Amino acid sequence: MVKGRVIFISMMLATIMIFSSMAVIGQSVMGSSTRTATASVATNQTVKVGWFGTYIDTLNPYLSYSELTGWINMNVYLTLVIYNAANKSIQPALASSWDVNYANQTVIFHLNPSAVWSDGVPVTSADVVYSYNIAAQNYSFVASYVSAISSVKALGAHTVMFTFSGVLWTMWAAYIFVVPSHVWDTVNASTYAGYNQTGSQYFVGDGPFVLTNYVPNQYAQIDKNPKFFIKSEMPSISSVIFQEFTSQSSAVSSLESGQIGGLTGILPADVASFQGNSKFIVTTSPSIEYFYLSINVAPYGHGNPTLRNLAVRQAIAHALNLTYIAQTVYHGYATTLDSVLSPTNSYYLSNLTKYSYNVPLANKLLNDSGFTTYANGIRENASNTSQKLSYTVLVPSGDSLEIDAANIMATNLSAVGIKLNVLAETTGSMASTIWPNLTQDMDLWDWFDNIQSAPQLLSVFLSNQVVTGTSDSGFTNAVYDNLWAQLLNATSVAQAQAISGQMQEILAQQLPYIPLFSPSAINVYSSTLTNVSSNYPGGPFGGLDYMTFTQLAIKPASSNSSSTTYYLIGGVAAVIVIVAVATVVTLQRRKKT
Amino acid sequence: MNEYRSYLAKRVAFAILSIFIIVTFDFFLFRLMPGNPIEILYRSPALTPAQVATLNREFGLNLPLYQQYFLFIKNSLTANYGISINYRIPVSQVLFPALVNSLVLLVPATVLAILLGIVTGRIAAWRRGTATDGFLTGTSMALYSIPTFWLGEMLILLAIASSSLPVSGMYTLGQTYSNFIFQFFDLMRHMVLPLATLTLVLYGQFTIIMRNSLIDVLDEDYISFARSKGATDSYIMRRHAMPNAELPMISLIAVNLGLTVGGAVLTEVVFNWPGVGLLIYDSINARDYPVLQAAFIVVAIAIVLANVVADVLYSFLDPRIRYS
Amino acid sequence: MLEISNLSIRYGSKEGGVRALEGVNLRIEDGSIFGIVGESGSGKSTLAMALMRLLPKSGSVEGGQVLLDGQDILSMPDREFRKLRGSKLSLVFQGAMNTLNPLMRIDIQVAEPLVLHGMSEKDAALQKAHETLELVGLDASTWRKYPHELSGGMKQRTVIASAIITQPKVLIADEPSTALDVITQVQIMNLLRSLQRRLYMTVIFISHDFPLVSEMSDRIAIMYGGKLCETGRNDQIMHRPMHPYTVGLINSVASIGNKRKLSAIPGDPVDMRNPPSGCRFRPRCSGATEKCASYGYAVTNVESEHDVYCTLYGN
Repeated sequence: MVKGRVIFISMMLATIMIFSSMAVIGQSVMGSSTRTATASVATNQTVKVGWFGTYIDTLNPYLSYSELTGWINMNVYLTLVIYNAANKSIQPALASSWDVNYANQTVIFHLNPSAVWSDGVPVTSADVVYSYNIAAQNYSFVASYVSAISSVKALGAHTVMFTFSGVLWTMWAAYIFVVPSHVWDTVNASTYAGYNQTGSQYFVGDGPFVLTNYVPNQYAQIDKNPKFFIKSEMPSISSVIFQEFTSQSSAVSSLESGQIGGLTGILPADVASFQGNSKFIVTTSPSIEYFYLSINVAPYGHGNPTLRNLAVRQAIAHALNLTYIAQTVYHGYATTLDSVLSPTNSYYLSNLTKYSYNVPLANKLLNDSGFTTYANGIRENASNTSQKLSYTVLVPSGDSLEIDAANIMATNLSAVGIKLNVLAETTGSMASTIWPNLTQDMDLWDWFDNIQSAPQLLSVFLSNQVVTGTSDSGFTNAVYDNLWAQLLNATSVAQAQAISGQMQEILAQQLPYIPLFSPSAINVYSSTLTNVSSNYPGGPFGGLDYMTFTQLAIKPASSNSSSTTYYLIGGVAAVIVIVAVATVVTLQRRKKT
Repeated sequence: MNEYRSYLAKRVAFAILSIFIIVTFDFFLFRLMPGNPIEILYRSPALTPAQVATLNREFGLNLPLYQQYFLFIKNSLTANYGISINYRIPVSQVLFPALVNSLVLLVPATVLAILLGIVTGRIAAWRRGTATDGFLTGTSMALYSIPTFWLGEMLILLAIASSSLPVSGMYTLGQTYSNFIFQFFDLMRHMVLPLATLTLVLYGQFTIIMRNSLIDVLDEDYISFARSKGATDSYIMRRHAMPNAELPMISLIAVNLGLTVGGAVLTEVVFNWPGVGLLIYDSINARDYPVLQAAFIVVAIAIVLANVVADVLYSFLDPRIRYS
Repeated sequence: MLEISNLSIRYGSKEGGVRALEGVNLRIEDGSIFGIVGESGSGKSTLAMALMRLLPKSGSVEGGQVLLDGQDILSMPDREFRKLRGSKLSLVFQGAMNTLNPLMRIDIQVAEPLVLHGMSEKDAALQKAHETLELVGLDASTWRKYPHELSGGMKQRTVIASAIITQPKVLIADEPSTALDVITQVQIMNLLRSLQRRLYMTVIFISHDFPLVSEMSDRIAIMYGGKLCETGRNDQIMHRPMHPYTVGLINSVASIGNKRKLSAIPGDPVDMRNPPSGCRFRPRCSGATEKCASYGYAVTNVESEHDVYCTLYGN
């Protein structure tokens, strides 16, 4: 029996060793499959950024939903032009100049003649044609962006002509990445429609950085591209590592311990712990994300029918004390907004119909609409008491701040006799409740106004979006639909602006959405990083600023504690564990009285 | 010996049947859950109906149910778990690396917890009723009851305050290693906090089982009999008490080792350890059916196998049940 | 020779405890079989445990001494006594059901006393164990078996084997055959007798089974409520019982061929937490007088080697 125990314990120790070695060996084996020969070792010129939003789902820019993929792609690929959301202007990128002709509905791009891929092959118009071709395929997730393009033609090695309908050419020119056709062509086209999304074709690009390493579910690494052809924008750092976190708290801990250098999405309540600390810098930036209250106004919808009464919606809007909520829940780190576009969008209008916090007005609106009797503090229609102003609002269970906001809104509404039941669910459950039958009363959700150079979000309110599962309000308005068609065919930017203004006003008056807040993007980064700008939406580490890493510099560290000391710590830890186990084993065997 | 072999064969056959039932159950379970992964993808304004149809076709979600079922059985046997909806690469490429990462963390943690539990349980039983017993049992129960994530966060706070250890991940990212030893040490460094957390919250159950089992055994007649032959206390412990007391532990040990395959969600999320627990957590949020199905099958199979091993080991160690 | 003088054992604390043995005086000659008879609670098992120093934690020696060949075995340090326990002084347990470790082969368990007392050669010890098992009537087919594979009688033989393998001077057999059926009982008793003769052991035979004890023993002691009632030679106790309890015991036993009506001893066994004052048998004794309530258990020697503890015979 004693011999059995010794065997058991030795087996256990051996298992520990084997598994640890497996991990080590396995890591090197798997790492090498996605690593190219040019990956650099992380030095003190490496910035590590934390990310706990959606993970990288695929590296393919035409199939990805992940903001992180988008951000990485911004650094390794160029688009034809770039929309600078900080100053709302279009800037050259791959194209050094362009000629737009609204009358003929064409735009000609002149590519930068020195544009070159990281493997030395020059970028040509063939790459542009190729890329837009893929973008237009029915498996591509950006197909609707390029739906306005009727043809793409290469006029020369560095000239491309697009024929398009509509004035919103910036929607695709600034958002469709151009990829190297000479590399992608060698890969089977079905892999794009299929799912080999981490293949070697993603390691060639023309941006200031090039992708060098990707471990799914863990991290991605980009290194400086020495062949980057816009020399004035050559980065000073050598590489960036994006580390993916599942929980926000783990990301914040890593920031505090120095494992990562920058992080976005810091909660307002956590700001205080960083502000006093000289090792960190806190910045606040506008955001392209905003939260809204969507009201089920579909004529055939299955929510509470009282919501189809405009006066009720207006009353709700007047009953909400949004500035108070912005102060309390977000500690002041949020702004209210009046449109369904984010404030940094170039088509955003602010002089729309507004709804101030006015409880008497809300009550008056409800009384005038006939909701004058009360049961248990909840208003009912005096002539049809089955119609009660009692609603359930769905909120994503992962958004704790928004749940707090919803609860305060419920208190606001109870002051005017409206009952709001806050129901937190996962986004999947919310989606199955809302689509396709629109069985909800209201939902509190968010949008990311990703296309900042065009009013893309206005398309959510088209009648044809009710069945596809984008429109959660079920809004249908023939005038609105008509305006959108006109917008697409506008012949000048000014005309497009005017039309989008009218559309935003319709929404402001009809209230399928009550826009709530845009939480500021709070970023925290290590004070060893300099030249970090904070006026771009999302902040430097929010995933939208394409200039973050080209501008960033790292202060030389005063003492470069070499990695060998850290390895020593690891070695000591291992030795301690082994000694502890051995002691336990010996104690078991030694004779004790 | 023949009886022993037939016992073994019966156990293995039963295990195979269990696995089959589990696979079937797993298939139906996911079809019954609310929340459809495709619905999530609908939210993007960029998705056209044609793209939705393509996705449906790729994942077979629009085939009749029974066809999906047979497809599923066939795929499970050939270790083809389909394509991850979230990562767009084959599930096995996502699942098995994560599995290895989890095992690296959990097997040592479980083993240490077992050893720690045996030692503390034995001391507590031997000094039953004294302050030592109260202290050992009390702390083990207290640690067992502490929420894993709370303990993990406390250790993280300590680590940050002392700037000593990394608080997330398995390795220093972007690092290449001049040799295997450095990589191993880097892994050890990252493993200290999650390993400590897991061991401390796990060992309590072993302490209690060991203690109670040993107390029962020490009351048995054969202990007095051994003493009447002139045996010392430590001899009795070593040759009579412990072997008998450890028998009930075997099932517990086997099940715990089987469960390591499922990862430890709380620990992995707190320390961002890229294991199966983290993968399951992310996949649940993303409604990534193929990954979840595969993970659950793998875990279930591991537990069934662990039970078989436990039975075999038990019958090997306890001659009384060899012929049942 | 084993001399027990004025031995008193208490379980529990001074206030709430139980005096399990009080003032026991016995002289046991070498090579004899000494029988101790008593009901449950009479203290006979306590006596056995006390001799082996295997009392539970709650038990303590309140007074008296035990001399084995002149050595005081109660006050010896533990380490020294352990050398005697299992080698010079052996115990055969009652109820062999659980007495053997279920995970160990029986020959290894039989060999244990040898190994524990210095024989380091495992093979030699096993060899001796096999011989001893043969001696107790178990043949080679059983030696490598596990306890659950043996019958009750075989297990008891195994226990006996492990008790005699060191050729002890004193063998204490506490109800060695009580848990067995009658036929096996006879076999075990015969075995013990033949072993005693062959190895010249002193056997202390403890049982509640009076006829069994009377068959085996050279001298008998009767105990009740933790105190002695009567001690004497076998023929003296059987033919000339003095103590009322002894008489009652003899009358309550059936014997084949004797159609005499059985008579039970009236009353209940004594409650040891609250024993009656004076003679503990008083509530059940037909000949009790007032003197019995203040009886101090003075001994009366009614004839050579025959002692009685009763008010009917002097004080």
